[in-house]
Amino acid sequence: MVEKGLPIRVLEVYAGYGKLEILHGVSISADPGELVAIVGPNGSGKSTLLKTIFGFTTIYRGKIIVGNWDLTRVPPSKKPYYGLAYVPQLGNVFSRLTVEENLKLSKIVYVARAKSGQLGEEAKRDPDRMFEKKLQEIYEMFPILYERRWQKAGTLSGGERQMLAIARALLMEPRVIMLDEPTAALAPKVAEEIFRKIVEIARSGVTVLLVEQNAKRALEIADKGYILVQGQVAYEGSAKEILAHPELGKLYLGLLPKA
Amino acid sequence: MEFLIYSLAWGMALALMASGLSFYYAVSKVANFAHGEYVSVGVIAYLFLVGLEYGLDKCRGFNIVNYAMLTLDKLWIIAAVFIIGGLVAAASFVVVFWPLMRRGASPLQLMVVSIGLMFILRFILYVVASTFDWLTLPSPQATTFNVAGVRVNLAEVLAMILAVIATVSIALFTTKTLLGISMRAVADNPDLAEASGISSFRVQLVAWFIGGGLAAVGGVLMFILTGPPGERPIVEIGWMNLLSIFAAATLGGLGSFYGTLAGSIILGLAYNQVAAWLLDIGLDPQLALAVPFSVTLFVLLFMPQGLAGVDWHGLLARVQKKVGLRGGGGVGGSL
Amino acid sequence: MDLSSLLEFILQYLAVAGVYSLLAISMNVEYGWAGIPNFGKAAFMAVGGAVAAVIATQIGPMLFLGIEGAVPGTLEFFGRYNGEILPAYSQNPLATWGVFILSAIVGGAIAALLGVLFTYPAVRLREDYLAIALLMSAQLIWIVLRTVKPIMGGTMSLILPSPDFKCIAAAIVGGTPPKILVEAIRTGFIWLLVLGYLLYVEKLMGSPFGRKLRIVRDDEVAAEAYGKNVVRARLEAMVVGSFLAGVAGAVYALIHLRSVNPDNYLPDITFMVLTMVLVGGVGNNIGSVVGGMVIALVDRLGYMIGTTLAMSYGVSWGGYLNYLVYGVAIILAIFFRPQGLIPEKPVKTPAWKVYVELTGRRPSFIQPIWTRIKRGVGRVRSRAQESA
Repeated sequence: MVEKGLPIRVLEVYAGYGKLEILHGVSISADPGELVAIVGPNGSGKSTLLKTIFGFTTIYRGKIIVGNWDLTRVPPSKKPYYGLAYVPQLGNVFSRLTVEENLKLSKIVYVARAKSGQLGEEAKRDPDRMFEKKLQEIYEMFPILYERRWQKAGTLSGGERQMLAIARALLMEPRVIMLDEPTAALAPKVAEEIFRKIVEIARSGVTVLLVEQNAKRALEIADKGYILVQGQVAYEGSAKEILAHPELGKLYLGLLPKA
Repeated sequence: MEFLIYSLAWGMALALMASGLSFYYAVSKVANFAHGEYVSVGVIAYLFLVGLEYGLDKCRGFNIVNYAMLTLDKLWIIAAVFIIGGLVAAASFVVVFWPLMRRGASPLQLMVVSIGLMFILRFILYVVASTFDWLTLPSPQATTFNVAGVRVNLAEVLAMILAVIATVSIALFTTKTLLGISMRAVADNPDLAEASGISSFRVQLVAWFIGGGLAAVGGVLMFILTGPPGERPIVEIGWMNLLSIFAAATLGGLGSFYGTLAGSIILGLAYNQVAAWLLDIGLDPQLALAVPFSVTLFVLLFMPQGLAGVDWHGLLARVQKKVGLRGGGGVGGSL
Repeated sequence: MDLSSLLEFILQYLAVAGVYSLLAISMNVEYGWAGIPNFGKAAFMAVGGAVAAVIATQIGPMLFLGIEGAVPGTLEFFGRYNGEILPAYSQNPLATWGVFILSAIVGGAIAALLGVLFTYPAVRLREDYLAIALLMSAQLIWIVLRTVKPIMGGTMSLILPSPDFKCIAAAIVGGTPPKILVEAIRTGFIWLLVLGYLLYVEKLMGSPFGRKLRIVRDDEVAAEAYGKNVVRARLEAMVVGSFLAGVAGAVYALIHLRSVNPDNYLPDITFMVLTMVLVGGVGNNIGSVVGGMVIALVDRLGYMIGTTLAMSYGVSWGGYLNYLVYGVAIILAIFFRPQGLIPEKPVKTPAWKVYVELTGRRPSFIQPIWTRIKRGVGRVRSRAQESA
């Protein structure tokens, strides 16, 4: 079996929309299977960073390296074929398609990657059957999606929608998965479930980049953390270190210091 | 009864043309004025293929009418017309619209450029048609059958059958095949589709091919059903029907395939009934054109989502609840 | 070709170019400044033509000739109109001018009203929907003109009394004036109108109203944020554009074609005018005139080449070459020069005018010289008093 996760290196990236530069030289790295949390105040460029890695913004300078590939100039529609998956914060499911159709669309990427041999010998021999198997696994992981598989995705609740979005990404068998605020506007109980799934994904060996509003919770489950402020990395370190730091939390993350 | 069948067939021919427009509008969002020319391309291609079969020399001018009668053995020509229309539409997407879309052109710019394309296509059609002297021709008619005492002709039958086949095959295509589902995905959320590794270019190309093909076939049937467009050359048959096509497509909710189908049939019945009634009371039947125009205005102003905007699923669910059936899941309905 | 027929050709070309320029300028107000795709332009021209027809047949005879008018579409119409009214017009040059001026004013006013009526319900729609809505409205007008016979007499061309330029020429040279002079005066009159349009529109463009329109066109949201009423601005642009189109419609019917027919007002002409604006440069008035001249030339050349091809080579499609030229022009314009032959000029409002508008005071350097002298003298005086 090939190693599941891929290392990702963002090197001194300057990027933005049109002429508006938002990221001013951001460097980030994640090792295979690592869960990296990117936190910071509103408007600090966290979401833009993920969009940049996926190719939705203009990159003026810097490099994005995933595994051995330089993906700086690769358009978004090609990125999934390198094993990258991106779950945006809004509009992350096809609301007018049924749940099952949403999931089936991942087959395009899965089959292409399987045929190129990225997913091992068995998948190369019979990608269709392996995808079906994978789909069953996903349904076992998210039973609620199986229940609702004939429903239009637009009729799902916020939490179910988020699970569908993550499931769609997982079905592509990604080696790096990027999640943009997966728990925004969810009830605490539902958010907790999503966090559990994310930990599960990281444990399976996939590299996870997690952008979160809920900095405390994200850092609690993460291995490593970055604090982004005004388009620059203000601090990087192990997640525990950031949580324990007496000043950082107060300064940037709105966390109350431990009593 | 015969007239009802005629108006229904008219509506179906319109449905083929208009749903072609809807089909690629859903993924590309281009209000394409050149769509009418795809219709005319169908007519000229039909005549040309007939000419090829019986010898182009014999088919100059009016003589073509003797050969062009729609009979059962000409079905392969209809199939070829579909492909030609599809290729023209796909080519116009690749050469004109896609490059502009990639530069981020506004909907208005795309619309204006489609007018330019319309003029160029029309010029080419004029060249072909006047070379063979086909500018003014009467309808070549079609084989007629007698079904239970009612006379129907092949064009009418074909219009209805093809509309049904198109509906069924497109329903299957958009719900059962991965390419069809991708098409609906691009229509629903282009950015996410891209992030899911769907090539938006390929999907749109297929949509334009199918859309152009449907327009061309609809055009042939319309030509055989109604003959030349008013007092104008047959090359302008598409242009003369373009506004009705827009009317049907907006009534259906631009970009909704099934909505457009329903809209066209409603328009077909309404238009022809009004025209017949006007003729009865001694007025110019051309007044009936006011029907599609005012319908479009009404829809644009008061229900911009068209028929597709009506909550059919909600309505269906309510009916089913009353009847006591469980809703079986809404497959399709969104393209 | 001898000199006089060449001159006549040029004059005729210039006349057509002038009429096209009028239309292009009116389209530019809407499409170029306010970003309204007025695909119903033909209808507003038709209003000018329809008013001209009604005035020429029904109101004019009573008002200017003192005889009873004739209603088109009735049985005795052609006898009375051709036998009595038209000859009476040709005897009375002043009456023909009365018809033209009245048609221009009333046509413009009705067109302006119609502009609001058409656009008001649809003005909030997305641009391409708005275009389709206007196109459909124009088609409804066309159907009305075709079917309501008392307006234009239905689908046959109706000859109209053109304003009499012969009497002006006669007043200049006396006796029977040469044809070329009459043509020259006619063309001159059209270009006088073009000049009037240009001056009016340029003035409007430099005013706060013009700036508002451009803000609305370039960024609707920002305009809304600056407190500019987008709907109102668009409607105002439609009023100006439609008024100009209505007047141009009267010119088109009475001076250019000298007849009316509902089929003169099909969407083809709208698209032709649109091509002129695109060729000349969106948002530039001089550009619209250039666009009008270019398209008029294309028209003439297309016709000439078409007939030559047909005569010498037996090719029958030469007459459709215009379509090719229009199509290529539109596509090239959108692809390579969205700003047209002549790009839009930046707004020329001197900084001090803005200063005055904002503060209500004149900056010192442009205050009249005597106030400055007065102030200087006062200053010297007060200093003298202080020192004393």
